Amino acid sequence: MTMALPSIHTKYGDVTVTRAGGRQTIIHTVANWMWLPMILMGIMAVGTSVGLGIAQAKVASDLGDQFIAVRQANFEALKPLTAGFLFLGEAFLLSGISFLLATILGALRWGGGEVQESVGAPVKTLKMPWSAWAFVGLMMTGLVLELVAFGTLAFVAAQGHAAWIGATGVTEPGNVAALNRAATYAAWANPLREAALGVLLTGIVFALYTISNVLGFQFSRIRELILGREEGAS
Amino acid sequence: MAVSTRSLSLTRPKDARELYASNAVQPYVGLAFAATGLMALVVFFIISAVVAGWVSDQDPTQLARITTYESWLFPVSVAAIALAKVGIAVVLFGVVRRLWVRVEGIKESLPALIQRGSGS
Repeated sequence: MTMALPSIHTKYGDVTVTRAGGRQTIIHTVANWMWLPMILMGIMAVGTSVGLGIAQAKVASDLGDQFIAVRQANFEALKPLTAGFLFLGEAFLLSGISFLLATILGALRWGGGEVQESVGAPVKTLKMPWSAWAFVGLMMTGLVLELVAFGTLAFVAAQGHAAWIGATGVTEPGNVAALNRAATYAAWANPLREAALGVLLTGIVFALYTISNVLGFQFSRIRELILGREEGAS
Repeated sequence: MAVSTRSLSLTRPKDARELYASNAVQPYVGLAFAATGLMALVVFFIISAVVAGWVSDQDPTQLARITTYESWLFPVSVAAIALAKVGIAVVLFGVVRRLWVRVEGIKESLPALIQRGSGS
């Protein structure tokens, strides 16, 4: 167990001082585990959506030849499902990138501790700054919103299919109530999926800001060690 | 709570010192992904311009053709953007590995640098 000395305030944020270097936090550990599965799930979801898009194109082509209710129902179901998988995949990819950024922060924290330990100096480590908390919060929110949007688009697909399965013509859906439900849910699910991607991207901006701050602190600390004088304290 | 992740880390090279002189492949692979995604996007943009021409013709017989093209163009073009994002991820993976090489490098050279600094 490392013995903590009093924490100090610097222009980069509050800093803890310990005798020995710290290890990565639980958030960095999760990021280390999750970045690869997230990227693989993203690639799979985007691949699925491409497959669904090609299937949708085939159904649309067949519909152009002859109207059949089942074809129209399949087309109306495939449309929201394709978009749902597509944006879910994008969200997984952005989450994977976010986890990789968290891994970079973990490497900076752990590696910074090892470097200070190697010269026998007190180990100064930045406390988790507000921007890192904002990054984690925005990433989680964005991913959850994207999952909600995906669930809603799956519901829209089911309602779209129910609306057209008993259709008698291009302008005569079999179930008008289901058609209205599908239109209503699609009206807010589509902007929601875009908003979720926006939230994830904003989280990435906060992560990059945090990395920039940590790099500034580490450069300052290395100067302190070489020149043998305290700097950066406010 | 602080925990060790050494055993599960793909990102920390086993012997970072061996990587000093070697070129990292990740930046090149990442750029290749991004360039492929970009080239695919240019192709899809040109196809979309052709489809836009069909739309402006307002020919009802073209409607099925337009729907067919739009059905696959949208997911495939967004998948091309996803390819660029995979490129970003690969480059970031390389950045993490390079960070560990940097840590080993500083650990090795900093004590000598401090001795020289305090001697002056």
